[in-house]
Amino acid sequence: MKKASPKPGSKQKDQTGLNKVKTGISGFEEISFGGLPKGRTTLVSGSSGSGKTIFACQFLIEGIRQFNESGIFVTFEENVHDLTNNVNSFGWDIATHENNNRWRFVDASLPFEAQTRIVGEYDLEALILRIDAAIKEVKAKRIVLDSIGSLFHHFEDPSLIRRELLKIIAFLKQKNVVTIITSERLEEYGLVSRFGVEEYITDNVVILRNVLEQEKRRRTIEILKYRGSVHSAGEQSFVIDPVKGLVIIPLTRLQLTQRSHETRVTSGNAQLDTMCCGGFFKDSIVLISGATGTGKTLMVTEFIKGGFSGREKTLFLAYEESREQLVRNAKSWGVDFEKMERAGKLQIHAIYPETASLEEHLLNIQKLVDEFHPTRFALDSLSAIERGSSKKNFREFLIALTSYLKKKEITAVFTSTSASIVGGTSVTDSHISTITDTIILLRYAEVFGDIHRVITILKMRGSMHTKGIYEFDIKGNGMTINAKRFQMLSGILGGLPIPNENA
Amino acid sequence: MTKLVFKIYIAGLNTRNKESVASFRKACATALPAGSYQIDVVDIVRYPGEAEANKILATPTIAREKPAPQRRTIGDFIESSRATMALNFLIEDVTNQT
Repeated sequence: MKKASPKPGSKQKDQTGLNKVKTGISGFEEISFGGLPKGRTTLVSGSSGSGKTIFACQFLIEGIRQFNESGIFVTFEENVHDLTNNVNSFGWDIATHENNNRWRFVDASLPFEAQTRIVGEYDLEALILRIDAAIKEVKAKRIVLDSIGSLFHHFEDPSLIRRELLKIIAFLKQKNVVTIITSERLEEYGLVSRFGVEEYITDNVVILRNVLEQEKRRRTIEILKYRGSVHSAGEQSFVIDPVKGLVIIPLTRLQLTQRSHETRVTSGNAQLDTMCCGGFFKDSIVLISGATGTGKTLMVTEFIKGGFSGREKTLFLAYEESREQLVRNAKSWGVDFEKMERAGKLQIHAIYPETASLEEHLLNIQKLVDEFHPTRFALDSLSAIERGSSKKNFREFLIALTSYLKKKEITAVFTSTSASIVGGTSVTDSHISTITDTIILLRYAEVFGDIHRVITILKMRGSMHTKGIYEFDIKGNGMTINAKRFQMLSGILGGLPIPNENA
Repeated sequence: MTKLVFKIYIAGLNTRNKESVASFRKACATALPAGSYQIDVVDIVRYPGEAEANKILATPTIAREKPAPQRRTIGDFIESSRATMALNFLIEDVTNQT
């Protein structure tokens, strides 16, 4: 083997030192500020089923697909055939890449293991020579070693493996390739790696987790160590999409976009438009909060109707009621959803919130928006989605969803169910009130044995709006808001109404 | 008895490796009748494809290729005692059968 001497000046591109290579894994460049460094090794550690092999595979596949860089996959555990078949479902056609000399396997599994005995000192020079030959053959720029845990298993001498791994890493550095080493860990929040040496011999450490949170699986990625580079700290959510593979949702790096639109669109209700001084802003997020039966779904229906009258398309996600139920309810208010659907102006998706993780819901919504190109978006209700997810996870989901909708300049209406029938705000509201631009409250008010429904606009960013509380009726033609203020009670929003004496 | 075929995989033809091969030849000559075995030496620096094809990870490795099933030893056998130990393991199942 030839010993390459470092060529002066060829490695370091700038003062910050690192010459980063884009992984091509969606979202990873954002959290790593540009990708993985050339000539260095990154440990990807995770429990079984956390997605290590997929991460590693995708790193090579995207290298070929997006950047025209060949890759070597050194497999210590999984059979080459199994691996090829397993990732085929993502549409990753390894066999073709092999034929095109863009991909090489180095099968480092040990054959005849039971019939093998160690009789003396040895090294892993053979493995290095094989990797070297493969690199030369396809001019590889990316290398994966998956997973080195088996080496410790086969050879049983940790100090020897450590020494040999250091040799391999030094060799790969010399080749100036980007390397990913995967390693198994036993607990989600325990030692970084199983054998406790892996993280010390690599430059960077990435941890993949698959944790149970409120009876749901949540996958996260964390960059624990990144020598010589800034990176985002903490866990970021990701999903394993059946088509795209790993998709990281880099929430902490989402940027707040400023509202650019002064354009108003109708809320679907003329009186409400007047209360808002001309309707909703085009790219605003509207939250409708109220107890069950106050008319939230009706307002969503009117919002869709308003869109249809302006030839706009609406994407409607229903997490509480079935499609049939929604269609029937809308009909009773004089709105024909089926006609809108036939005209291609409406899509209703009724989904059980429990069927997927929040990350999967988010990706699903993005997919639907990308396919349908709606200018209006309605979601009924956030409370249904919030059930069974952690506070933090839910908030991250909302930030990601609302910033996505804003970027697409979509007018969005969300509903939220308050827990108490009279007054009070829901937990959901307090989580999301800062994210929304407009908040509309619907409340019951009890006056001398009668239930009245009232509406008020609590806030509306960037616009004047009426501050009063108004009574409304629900009839066959929808919602009718009284022009006169509701002054029979005080303290409705606080949940402790008292009659006004002069009313 | 079928002829025993050994393959010794080494990384580079340095003095140490040459001496190791000689040590194993000597152990064979002592323990086995002449003509009953064959020893091939593969320098994987020159032929990395051989290492790839036979999935050799560590060097030195001795593989008993025939008769099947294969047996392998990993590790240094420059000392004659080690070479004998390696040989004994490599032919253990064959000699037990007879």
